[in-house]
Amino acid sequence: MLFDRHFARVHRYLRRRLGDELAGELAAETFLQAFRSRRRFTGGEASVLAWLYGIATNLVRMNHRTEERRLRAYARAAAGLSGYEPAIAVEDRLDAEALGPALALALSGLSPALREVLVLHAWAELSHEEIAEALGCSSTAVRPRLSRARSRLAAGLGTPVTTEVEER
Amino acid sequence: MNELDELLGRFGNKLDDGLDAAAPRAAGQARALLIEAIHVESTNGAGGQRRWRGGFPRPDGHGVWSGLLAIVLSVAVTLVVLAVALGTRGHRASSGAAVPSVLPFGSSLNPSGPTGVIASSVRLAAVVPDPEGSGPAWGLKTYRVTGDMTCLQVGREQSGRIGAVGAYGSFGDDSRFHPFTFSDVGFGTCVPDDAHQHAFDNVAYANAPASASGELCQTFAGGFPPHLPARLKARLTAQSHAADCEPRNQRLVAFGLLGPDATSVTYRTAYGTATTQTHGPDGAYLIVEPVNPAICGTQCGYSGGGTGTAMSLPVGLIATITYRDAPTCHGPPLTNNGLILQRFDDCRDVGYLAPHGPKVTEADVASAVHVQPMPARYYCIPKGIYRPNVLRIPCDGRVPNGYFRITGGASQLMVYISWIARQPVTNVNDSTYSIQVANPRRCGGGQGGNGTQSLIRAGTRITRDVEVSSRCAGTYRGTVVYEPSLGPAGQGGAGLPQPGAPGTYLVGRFSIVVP
Repeated sequence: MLFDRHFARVHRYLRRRLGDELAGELAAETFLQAFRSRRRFTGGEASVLAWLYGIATNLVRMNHRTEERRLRAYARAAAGLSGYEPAIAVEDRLDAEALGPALALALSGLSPALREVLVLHAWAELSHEEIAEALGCSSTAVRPRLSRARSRLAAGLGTPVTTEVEER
Repeated sequence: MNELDELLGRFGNKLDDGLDAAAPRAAGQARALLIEAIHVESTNGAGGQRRWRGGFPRPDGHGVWSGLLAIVLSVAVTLVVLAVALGTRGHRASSGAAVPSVLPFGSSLNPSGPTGVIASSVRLAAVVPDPEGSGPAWGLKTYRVTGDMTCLQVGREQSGRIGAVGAYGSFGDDSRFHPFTFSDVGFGTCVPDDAHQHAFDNVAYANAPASASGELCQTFAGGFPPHLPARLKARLTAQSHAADCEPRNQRLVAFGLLGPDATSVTYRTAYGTATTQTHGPDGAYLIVEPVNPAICGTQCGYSGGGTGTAMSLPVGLIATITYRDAPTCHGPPLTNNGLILQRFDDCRDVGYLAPHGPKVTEADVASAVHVQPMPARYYCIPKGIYRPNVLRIPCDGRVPNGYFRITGGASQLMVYISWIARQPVTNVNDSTYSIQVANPRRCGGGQGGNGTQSLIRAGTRITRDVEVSSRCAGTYRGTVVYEPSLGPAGQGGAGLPQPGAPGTYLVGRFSIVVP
């Protein structure tokens, strides 16, 4: 069943972005909206998940301030626990554990549009085409947006902005 | 994936701590909500939707549900699967959830459909100065496109053209005017016309970029980080066309078409109220104000807004609308919870006339319906972005070039259903041919289907695929129905049209026998 097949992934995606409480509520809302708009669903079976992520992302967009607050709070808490020191060279802490606070801060500094394309790629593991389906834009628009998002994230982490070159 | 993606992935994994415990509880709650919604829709008609058109046979009386609820609960979720997985494979531009109705800068109006601008309809409907007195005026241009739709294009106006300016952090502050093409509607949208070829629509943004670039602003608390080199900032804004979200770089922008009878709109400003006259045969209005915290509330500081349909109006902004021959309607009071759009109780669809369905009877749409089972273990669809009207094909052997194999085929039987569309579909949003297939009672009941949702010429042979379960033998009975356009934009109900429902015409019946 669609619900059984995809709920866990959609819920995990929302939970990563907004935390437990909102994730449950919005995951339910995602499937409700999917049910209500099923007549207008334009894709085949292969794009059902992208469609669901698109709905979920729209819902996250309405709560992006919550997401940013959550990321900043995570950064503060994680920094307190791990003794995170922003001045440490990034090469010395290229792991998610050490970079957690910095990543959270850098993510919170991204625009909602850039953040969502980045997490749809890295967390939802969608392809460029699927991201385009989810966001309702062309796949050619996804690539530069993703590149910009990585550049911004890299800048936020203090790494050189080189990802645009990699994308081309 | 590059290194950043991997880091992000691992960071995401860290955020998953404790998820295993939370997920089942959330799933249970979501399932309950979903089942309740399906129950409400099936008994009450979709809570404000036009009418019930979902996949269950409508019970004769509400009391029936109390006895059958337990059965329905299991079937109901199956419906979702069928309705989505079989899905209406429609026109991309008419998508409800995945495709925003506001097209971003540079996007194409209707890349996969036969949309063309009707030249004689192009009209500069309204022009207002920038409230900060900065740069070109703002303009609202309207034009009709094939398929009985009207587009609203909004932005800065220069010599009759609508576009965006390279200022306020957008386009790298290049001080140039960047005109839109007809495909670039900026903050605008395209909506179906009514029977008199008038369009009704409302759009509002509490925080539109002052450049009118039509792209969401880049959210940095207090603007771009101070340490960001000017050249990098310029490069980023030039690439994205988008400015930061500082209020001085934003405007409150609201516009729409209120119909031929509307004469004026009174709206709230930071200093009281102001009134603007409507313009042209569609009652066009355009409001551009500085960002107003009293209206945008907690949304101030980022780009938010949305499109309404027909008479869904921006709450808090619109105070009254006056009409020639109808009472003045009043919007709800200021709520300070953001610029949302909703239907005003006091405002009716003044001047709106539902598009006439073609004067047809069922005899005029009747067609033989052909059924062609396509048994296979695997089915394939073309790679890339989904294109409308593409049939899934059997592919047990080699996968054809350009196709990929979809999952779940082993328990499904794909069946091609074809018929002659004797009446045209001229409005992709609210008109369709639809297929419904009812499962045998002993297979759990429920229905699935498919629809057209594309422009169709009369006389065209239509072929669509539907799935039935190959694991449940029996006779699956189906219908093809035609539904002409009804109601204003976005008023169509969810689900597939039911034969015999008002405004639908039976094309033909068919049956599929699964041995």
